[in-house]
Amino acid sequence: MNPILECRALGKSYSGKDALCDVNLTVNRGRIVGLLGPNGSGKSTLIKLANGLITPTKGEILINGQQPGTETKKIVSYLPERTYLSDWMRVKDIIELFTDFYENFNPKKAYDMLQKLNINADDRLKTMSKGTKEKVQLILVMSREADLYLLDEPIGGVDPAARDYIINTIITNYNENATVLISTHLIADVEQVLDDVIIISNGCITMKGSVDELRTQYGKSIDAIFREVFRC
Amino acid sequence: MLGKLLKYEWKATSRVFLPFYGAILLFAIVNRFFFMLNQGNTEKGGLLAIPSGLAMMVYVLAIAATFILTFVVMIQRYYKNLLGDEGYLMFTLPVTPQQNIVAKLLMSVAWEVISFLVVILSLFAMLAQADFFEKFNQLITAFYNWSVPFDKNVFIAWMVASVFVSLFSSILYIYASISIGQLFTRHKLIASFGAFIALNFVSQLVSSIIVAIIYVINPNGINIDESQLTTGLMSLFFGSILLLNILFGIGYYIISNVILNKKLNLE
Repeated sequence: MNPILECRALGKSYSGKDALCDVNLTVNRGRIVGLLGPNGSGKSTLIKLANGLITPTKGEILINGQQPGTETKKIVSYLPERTYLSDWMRVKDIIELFTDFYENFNPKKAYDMLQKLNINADDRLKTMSKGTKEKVQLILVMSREADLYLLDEPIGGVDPAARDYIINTIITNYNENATVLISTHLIADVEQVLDDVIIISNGCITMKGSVDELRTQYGKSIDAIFREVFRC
Repeated sequence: MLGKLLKYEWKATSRVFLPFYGAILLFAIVNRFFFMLNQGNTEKGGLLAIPSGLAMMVYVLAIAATFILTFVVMIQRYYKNLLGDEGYLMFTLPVTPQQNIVAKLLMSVAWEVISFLVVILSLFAMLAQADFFEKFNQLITAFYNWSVPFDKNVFIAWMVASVFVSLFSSILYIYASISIGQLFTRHKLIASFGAFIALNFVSQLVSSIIVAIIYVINPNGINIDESQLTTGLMSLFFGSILLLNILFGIGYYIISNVILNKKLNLE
């Protein structure tokens, strides 16, 4: 089986400035991968390229061996960093939308999670706090039975208790052959669930490997390695 | 998939339009009510002058607002929903950019037509008297009695076709301008305006070249006396303009399609 995500000499620049330079990457199935890096390092750019929301300036990115398109969008579940749903919609309207468009969306799972988090499906998004909106978006993403989950800063805007719930949801709700790519700078919170780590800085991959290997090699936690490498 | 997109497009836009349509129809009926009340009243002024004047004003404003709204919503759906934050949803759904463009196009055309029909309906509700159909028949008879050498039914057909093609073409023209604006990292709005003007210039240029060619071929150009305008000539004239408009429309569609397929860069 081919790797779920592959980047070959991938580059993206905006008006002469490089957001991503010559990225070569292979991500295999069934792994939980952390995409770690300071702000502006190119994490979101890489994820947006994988979703076909922006186009590469150089090289290529492949999902399941294909370029981003209708077929890859069926198997990729994406959580953007921003609110991307229409404010006037009610949660149940959005669940209906996802059920309509995605064959692998499981509405029952979504309603279960909403209930556990005490979110009312009749509420309109515009009446919700930012944290609640983010939870709703995460629930929608995790209720899909996708091959690749791309989560851009899933725990950034929520309180510590919700963070634990979210991380727990991520690891218990995806299927074993699926890959979860989590982009974040809250490393300490996610470190214990990660299999692999990709560290990116200024658009270039500076470090990659399995968490165990790196911990053994450097004798410290990933969080500590990160702090050292990116000391201001 | 296109059907599903249309369904959500309807849901998102109908909530804006239906209240305005309601207001138009309501005030048309209110105006009719005032007309009935004023019927016996020949003196100017009086108790009802201000409310009935206001009601008429609100009615007219509601109609004007609706046409502006139709235009603004058409642009907003493309600029904000497709290419703004909500684009993160639209472009990660398993649909092609073509389907997204066509869904927005069809819904925009539909609203233009529906808005027009609602206004006609409201005028009817406001003004129709018992002798309305009689007067309408008189109008139609007069039209058909107008002596011109061309077939009037063909003329009407060309008129209707022209209106429809213009609807599609003008919307696609705006979509193309917005899409070209997307190619720029900064100042997207200004770039869209620039593209709007540039595309207008190009289409005028093409039209002028074609007219110039016609004059070269036939020094009399396209000046024809009404009495000589046969159905064949009329069809040639309208048909050519229609064809040109269709080609422009296709061109604008291709511009948007290529840009959204190959050069998408959502912020």
